[in-house]
Amino acid sequence: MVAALSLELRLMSATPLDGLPDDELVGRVKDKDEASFAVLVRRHSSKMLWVVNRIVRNKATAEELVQDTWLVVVEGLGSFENRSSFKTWLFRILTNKAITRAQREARSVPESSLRGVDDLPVSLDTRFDPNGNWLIPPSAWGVDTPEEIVSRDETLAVVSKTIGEMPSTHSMVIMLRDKEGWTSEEVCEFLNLSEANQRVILHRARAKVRDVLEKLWGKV
Amino acid sequence: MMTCKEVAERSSDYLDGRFSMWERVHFRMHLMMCKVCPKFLEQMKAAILAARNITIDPAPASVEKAALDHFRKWKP
Repeated sequence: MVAALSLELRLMSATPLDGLPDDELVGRVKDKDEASFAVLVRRHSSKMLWVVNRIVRNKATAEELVQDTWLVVVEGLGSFENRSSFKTWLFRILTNKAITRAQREARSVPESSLRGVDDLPVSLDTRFDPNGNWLIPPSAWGVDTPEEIVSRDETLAVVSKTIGEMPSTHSMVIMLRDKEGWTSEEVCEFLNLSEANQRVILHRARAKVRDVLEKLWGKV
Repeated sequence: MMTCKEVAERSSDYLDGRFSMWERVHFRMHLMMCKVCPKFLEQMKAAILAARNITIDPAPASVEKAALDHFRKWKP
C-alpha cells in the first residue's frame, strides 16, 4: 500500500530529470537509473497509447501493447545505438507490435494504411475550376483570428474527434507533426514514408481540419 | 503567376517555411493580389493551431507501474 502510494506520488511529481532530453535519459537508464526510466515512461506513454489506438482501436489491447513495448525497451536498450532517435525507435517497436496484433486478430486497420495508402477526401478536391480559380471560395467565419477559434472549447472537441477518426497515417502524421512537434524527418523514419508523401498527407490532414472548422464556424 | 489552386495546395509548405526565396516571392505576390487566398491561409493557420492544442488522455497509472515493475526485476 505504502509502496504503491510512493510510486504514485513519484509518477505525479516533476523532477529535474523532466527537463532532460531523451538521449540523456537513455544514457542514464543504461546505467540502471530507475528515476530516468520513470521520466521516459511518463513522457511517452500517453502518446504511445494514442498512436496505438489508431491501429488497434481497442483500449485494453492498446494498453497491453504499450506495456509490452516498455518491456522490450527495458531488455533491448543495451543494444540501442542512437542510430535513430529514441522516440522513433520506441514508436516503431510499438507499431510493429500493434500491426502484428491487428493482423492476427484480423480486426481494424491493415498495414497498408500505415503507408499512407488510404486517402482522405477533402473539400479542396472540388473547389476549383479547370483554370485553378476558386469555384467555391472558403466561407467567412464567424470568429476573427486563429487564436480566437482555438480558444473555443467546441473547436478543440471537434478537431480532436476529427483527427481521431482520420485514416491512421493521416491521424498520426498531423498529431506527431503539429501537436508533438516531431520533425518531418522523424515522422518519415517512424512511418516509413517518403518526404514528399509525408507532406501531402500532412497537408490533407490539415485541410480536413480546416473543413470541419469551416462547418463549425462558417457563416451560412 | 501561381493559381489559387496552387496556393491552396502549397499552403502547408509555405506555413512550414519550406519554400525557396523565389517560391515565397511568387506566393506572396499572389496573396497581395487575391481577395480569397489570404482568408484560406488564415484558416489553415487556425487548423494547425487547433491541432497543436488538442489534448490527449494521460496513460493510466497501471501502464506506468507495469513498466517500472519490469525495470526493477530486470535490474541485476
